[in-house]
Amino acid sequence: MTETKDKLKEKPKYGILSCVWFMIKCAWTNGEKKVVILGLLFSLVVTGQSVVGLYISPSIIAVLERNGTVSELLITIIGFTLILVFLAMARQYIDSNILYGRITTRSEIINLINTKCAETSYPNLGNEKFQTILNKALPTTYSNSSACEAIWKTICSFLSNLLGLIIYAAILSTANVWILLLVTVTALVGYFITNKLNSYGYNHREEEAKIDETLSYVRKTASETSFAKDVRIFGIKSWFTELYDKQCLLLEAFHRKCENVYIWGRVADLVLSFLRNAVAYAYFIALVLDGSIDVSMFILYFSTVGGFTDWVTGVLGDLTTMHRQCLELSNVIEIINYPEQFKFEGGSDVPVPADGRYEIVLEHVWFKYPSSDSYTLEDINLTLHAGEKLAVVGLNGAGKTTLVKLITGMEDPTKGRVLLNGVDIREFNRREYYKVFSAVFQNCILWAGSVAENVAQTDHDIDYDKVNSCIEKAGLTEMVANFKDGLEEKLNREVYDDAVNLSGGQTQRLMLARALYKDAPVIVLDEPTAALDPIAEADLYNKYNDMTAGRSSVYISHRLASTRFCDRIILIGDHKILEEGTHEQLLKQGGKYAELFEVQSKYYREGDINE
Amino acid sequence: MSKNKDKITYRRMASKTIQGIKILYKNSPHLVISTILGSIWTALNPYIGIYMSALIITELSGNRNRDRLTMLVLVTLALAAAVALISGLLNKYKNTYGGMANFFRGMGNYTKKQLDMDFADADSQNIKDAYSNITQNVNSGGWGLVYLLSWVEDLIKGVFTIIGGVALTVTLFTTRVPDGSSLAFLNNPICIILVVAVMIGVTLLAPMCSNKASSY
Repeated sequence: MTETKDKLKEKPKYGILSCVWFMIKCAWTNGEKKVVILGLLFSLVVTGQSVVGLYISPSIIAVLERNGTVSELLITIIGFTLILVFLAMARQYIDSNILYGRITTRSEIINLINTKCAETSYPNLGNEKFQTILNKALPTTYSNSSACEAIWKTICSFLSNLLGLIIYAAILSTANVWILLLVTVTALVGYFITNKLNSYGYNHREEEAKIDETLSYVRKTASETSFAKDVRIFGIKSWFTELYDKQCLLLEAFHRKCENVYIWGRVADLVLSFLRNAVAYAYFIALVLDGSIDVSMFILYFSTVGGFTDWVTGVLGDLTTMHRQCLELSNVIEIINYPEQFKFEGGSDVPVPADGRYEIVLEHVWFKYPSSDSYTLEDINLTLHAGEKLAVVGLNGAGKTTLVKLITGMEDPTKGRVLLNGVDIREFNRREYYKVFSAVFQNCILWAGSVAENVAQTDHDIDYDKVNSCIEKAGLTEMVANFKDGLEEKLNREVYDDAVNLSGGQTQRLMLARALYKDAPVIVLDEPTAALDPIAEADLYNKYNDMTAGRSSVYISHRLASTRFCDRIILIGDHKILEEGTHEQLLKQGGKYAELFEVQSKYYREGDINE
Repeated sequence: MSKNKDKITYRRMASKTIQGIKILYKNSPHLVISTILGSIWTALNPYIGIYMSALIITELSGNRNRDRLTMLVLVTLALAAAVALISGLLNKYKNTYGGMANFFRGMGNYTKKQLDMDFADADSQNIKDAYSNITQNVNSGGWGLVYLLSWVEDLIKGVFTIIGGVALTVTLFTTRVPDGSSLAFLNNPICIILVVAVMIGVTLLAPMCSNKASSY
């Protein structure tokens, strides 16, 4: 409870003005100036409608009271009708035209966040603070009612409420200042009581969020094929159904609890409006009976009382809403401006050596993940010579992938340096440095696009001969030949209804083709055979020399037999390089490598299993 | 061509709506009842205030009897309080069982169905596409089962607002303007028909134009 209260009081990094300014800047710089200009006009029109509406009945009754002529009456009615029609049309026009501008602005913010995530320093993606802010920022862009778009409505509503408040206050002050004061006080008291009580749900939103999470989890699980077999084999259906129903009941119970609190806000509002209207009726009727005002003025003043209350409540409500929306928007600005660890702007270009080859040196490298207390790698000294084929082996969790991240510049060492041809890689523009590498990582990602686009990593200027050659080297020629559209066959069914789904092995081969297409001086293969069948795996080993010819390469695997075709093997364990040498040398040493090799290979040898 | 394919008859629309309401009623009868009653109440209750205000204004323009005015004001205030209380209670039920509770109950129908399917169906691309369409409609368009009640609510509110409006304006056409008045021409049946025709025409024209525009 205290924690929730603290969160509510928590100061955002960017205040209301900064957030509003950010939104205006976003709209303005993205060619959506109309969002701002039409927004201001919209506020004027909304207030105008209300003020004109306020004067219709009193004006018509005034004509009738003084026995005005038919034409006078008609002119009054037609005049007001025309003004109202004009204002309604203007409102509709603005509303329709402003909507898409607002959506475009929200899309631009989504674009800014996506660009930031796609381009940010890799360590930020694993950084808890970055992820926390990102997780808070993303929901603000989800829909028309999310903060990134809804704030425009709040700003317009605030401006029209403020303008209406000023106009109605001016009208009421001509009647009686005390009445103005009474209406203001009752509106303020009503607002604060209601607001206080209505914040119950917001203050306890974590309770609701927990239920939502469980319900969403069950929904997601039920619709995912990856869980479908387990759900059926283990008969989880009734468990999930009961859990779902129970959570629905809990959600309703939570809402009931909130509503039992909110109802008192409505009661308070009712009492205050009873009091306000009673006084207003008594005062204005007395004025009519005294002859101080006529019936038309009675209608005007009495309508103003009701309207003024709405303006006051509106202004305060909009301020509260704006505050909450800006709390959310602050996260968006924070994520977009999140500091970068690597040099993406500036930094020197990576020099291109005459032979096109690079030597990479890890010099006393220590590495620790921010969330960890211990080092993953300790005092690593390693040189990847130009043109060398290096294999990195070790048990799961030994730090092989971390080593690759350090070599490829995805992470910087906690201590020590990584040098490229003798220069600390932190000196280089990091995007330039990435151009040195081609890679197949453990997690394969297929983009929603054609086979050719996935290999070339672009949708224009694709060198189809090169794509075909890489496809062939990766052993996918037959697969592509079977596709209806060949290299233009679409992948990813989430986007394309007629796309094909590739198996794990096919995906991994395609990743290999992609790595070959990039044709970078250093190629990194992180467990590239994990999803391949033995024949495909053997095929890859046979082609490995061909594929990496003229390049340096780092080949990571926990299958020791797969590394024997490399020039040098390093075994990582206990956060260090334990052994180093060729396959034969390491076997001869009879150390850890030999021991692991023995364990892995014995089940492949006939008869061993029965020994 | 595809336009015709996508067309749905009013009969089918009504039958699907009723089918949907039945599912929602099974999920949460409180929500359906409170929403329907609430929409009728919301459509009709403003007329109480309008009627009472008219009585007060008539009294102020005519006899100006203090006792009668006091009584009228007290009745108006009491009725306003009663209206607010009833609205509050109906809203309480609607908010308890509506919103996210209705969303999860509604989507739960699909979840339970998916858990109930044979693996072959659960793994079928057609089912996946259908579910993807459902979620996309819910998330982007605000359509589908979970939003059905809000559309029905608008429909009921609209119908009862029209009924209330018609009931209130009937007296407008049955009450005669005194013969000597300059507005006596309003008693002429042609004039009445003309006014009624304009009112109906304008009322129908607006949604027709709006539908035409949005169907683009």
